[in-house]
Amino acid sequence: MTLIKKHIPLAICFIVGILTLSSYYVPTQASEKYVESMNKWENIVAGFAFLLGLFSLFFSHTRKITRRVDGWGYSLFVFVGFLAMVVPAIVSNGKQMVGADLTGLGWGYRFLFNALSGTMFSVLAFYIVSTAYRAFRIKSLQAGVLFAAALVLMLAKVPLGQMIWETLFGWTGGWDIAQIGQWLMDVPAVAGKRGIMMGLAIGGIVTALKIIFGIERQYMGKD
Amino acid sequence: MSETMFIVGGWVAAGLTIFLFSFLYKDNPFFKAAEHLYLGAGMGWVFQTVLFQTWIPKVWEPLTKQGDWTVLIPTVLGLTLVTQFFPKISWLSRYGFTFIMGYGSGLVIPLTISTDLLKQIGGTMAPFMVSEVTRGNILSLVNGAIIAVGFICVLFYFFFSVEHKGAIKKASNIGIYFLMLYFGAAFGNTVMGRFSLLYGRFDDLYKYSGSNYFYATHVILGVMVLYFIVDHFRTRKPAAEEEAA
Amino acid sequence: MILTLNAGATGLIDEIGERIPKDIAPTKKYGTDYVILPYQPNPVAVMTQLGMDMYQIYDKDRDGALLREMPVMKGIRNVKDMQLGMCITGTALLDYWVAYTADKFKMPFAGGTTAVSQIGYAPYLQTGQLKGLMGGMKGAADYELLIDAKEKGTAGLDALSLAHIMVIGLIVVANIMMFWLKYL
Repeated sequence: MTLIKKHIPLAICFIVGILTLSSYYVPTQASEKYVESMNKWENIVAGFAFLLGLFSLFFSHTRKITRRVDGWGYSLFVFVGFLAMVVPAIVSNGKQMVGADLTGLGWGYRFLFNALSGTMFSVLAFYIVSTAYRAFRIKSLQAGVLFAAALVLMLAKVPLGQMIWETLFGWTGGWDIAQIGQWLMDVPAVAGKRGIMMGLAIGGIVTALKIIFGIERQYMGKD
Repeated sequence: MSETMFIVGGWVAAGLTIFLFSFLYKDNPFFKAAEHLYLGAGMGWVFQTVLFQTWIPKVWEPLTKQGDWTVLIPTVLGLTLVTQFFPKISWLSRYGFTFIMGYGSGLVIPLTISTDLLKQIGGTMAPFMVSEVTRGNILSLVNGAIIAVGFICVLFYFFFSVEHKGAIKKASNIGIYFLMLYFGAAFGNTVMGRFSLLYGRFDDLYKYSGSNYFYATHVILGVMVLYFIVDHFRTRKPAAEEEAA
Repeated sequence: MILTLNAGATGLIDEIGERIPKDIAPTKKYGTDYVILPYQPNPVAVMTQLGMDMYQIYDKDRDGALLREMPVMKGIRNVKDMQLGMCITGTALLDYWVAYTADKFKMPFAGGTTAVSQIGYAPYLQTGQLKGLMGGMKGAADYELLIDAKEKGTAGLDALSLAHIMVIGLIVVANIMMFWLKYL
C-alpha cells in the first residue's frame, strides 16, 4: 500500500520535475512535444483545482446551516450569490453580451460582482489612513528614512504635491520632486528590491529542488 | 435588457457598496449579508468561467466530438484533487498534487535562475562595462555604484549563516537603510493604489446618486444612518434599564 | 490578441470588447485587427505554450470561432512572431510574463500595474526585461496625456492629490504629538 500511496506519487513528482527541468536545457523536438503535452494537461488539472476551494466553502456553510449555529442565516447568502452567477450563466451559455444586449450574467457581473469585489478592496484605503495616523511613528533613524522615502513618493505622484514642492523649494533651482521621486524608485529602491528578489529566487530554487527530490512533502498531507 | 433592470442594478450596486462600507462604523447584519454574498458570487463567477471556458471546450468537446481520450488522464488527475475531502480515499489526491508540484517546480528553476538571478546580476554590472564607462555619463556611473553597493549590502543583511559583527554588521546596517528606502517608496505607492480603488467606488456611488437612478445612493445611505440610530437606541435601552435596576 | 489568465477578469475583458467598436477603436474590425481569447487556468502552462505553438492552447476565440482562420492571426504561430506584449494587472502576473514569456522567448514586453506593485518591477525596467511600465493612477494619467484621451486616470488625480496630502498631514500631526508628549 505504501508503494501506491507514497512512492508512486513521489516518483511522479520526480519524473515530471526532472523531465520539465531538462526540457529547458535540452531543446529537442521530443522535449518540445513533452512540454506541450504537459502544458495542455496542466491547464485541465488546474481547472479542477478550483473545485477544492468551492467544495470547502460549500461544506463549511452547509454545516453551519444544518447545525443552526449563530449567524447560520448569512450562510444562505453564500448560496444565493453562487446561484445568482451560475443560473444566468447557464441560461445565456456563459455570454455576458448577446449582440448589444446585456444578459443576466452581464448584469450580475456589472452590478453585483464588480461592486462587491471593488468595495472589498477599497475598504483598505481607510485602514491605510488609520495606520498612517496610529502606527507611523518616527522612533528611530531607520523609521525616519522610511517616512522620508514615503513622503517624497506621495508628493511626487500627485500634481498638488508637485505644486507644494515648487512653492516651497522651487527657488533653489534644484531637482523638482517628480525627478527626486523617480530617482528614488530607479536607484535605491531598485537596490533594495533586487536584494529581496535574489533572496527569494535562491529560496524558490532550493524549495523547488526539495519538492522534486521528495524532501519537501508537506503538500502531500499526512502519511 | 430594459432600462428598469439597469436602474435596479444601480440600486443593487449602490446598496452593496454602502453595506460593505458600513463595516467601517460598526459590524452589522447588512455588512455580513453583503460579505457572504460576495463569497458566493465570487465562487459562482469563477465556476461559470471555468465551466464555459475550460471544462466544456477542453474536456467535454474533445471527448465527445473529437474522440480524444487522452484528455481523460488530466481530468482524472484533476478529479483526484477533490478526494481530499474524503478521509478514506484522500491519498488519491497525492497523484494530482504531485503532478502539479513536479511540473511547477521543474519550470520554476531554470526561469528563476535566468530572470531573477543572472539578469539581475547582469543589470547591476552593466553600468561598469567598458562600453558604458567610455560614454562618460557620470550620473549613470554614480547611480550604478549606488545600486551595486546597496544590492550587496542588502544581500549581507539577509545572509544569516554568519554572525553579523564587524564589517558584516556595518554592511548589513547599510543594507537596512536601502530596505527602508524601498519600503518607504512602496508605502508611498500603496497609498496611491488604495485610494485609486476608493476613487473607483466613489465614482460609481456618484453615478448612482443621479436622478436617472432615483437617487439610489442618497436613499440607501439615509436608510443605513437611520438603522444605526435606531440600533443605537435599541441596544442602549437594556443597558439603561440595567442601571436603573 | 486580448486575453486574460485571471478568472475574475473575464467580465472586464467582455466590457473592453464591448467598448472597442464603440469608442476605443471604432475603425478596428474584430478578426482582422484584434481578437479576444477565452480564459485559461494555470497561467504558467499558458505562457509557456504561447512561446511554442499557441494553437495547442488557444485553438478557438472566445466565441468559438477557429483562430487559425482569422486574418489577424496570419503568420502568427507563437509570441516570437509578435512585436510587443503588454500585461495590465493588479496581481503579480507580470512577474510570470517576464519570466516565462518575455525572457524565455525574447519577446519585448511592457506592463501596466497598480501603484502597489509598480516599485517591485523597477529592477526589470532597469535591466531592460520590461520595455515600459505604467504604474498606478499617475501612470494611467501620463498615458492618457500621451495618447490625448483624458479619462478616469486624469480625472482621479485631483481626488488622489487631496488624499495624499491628508495622509501626509496625519503622519506629521501624529509625529508632532509624539515628540511633544515625549520631550516637552
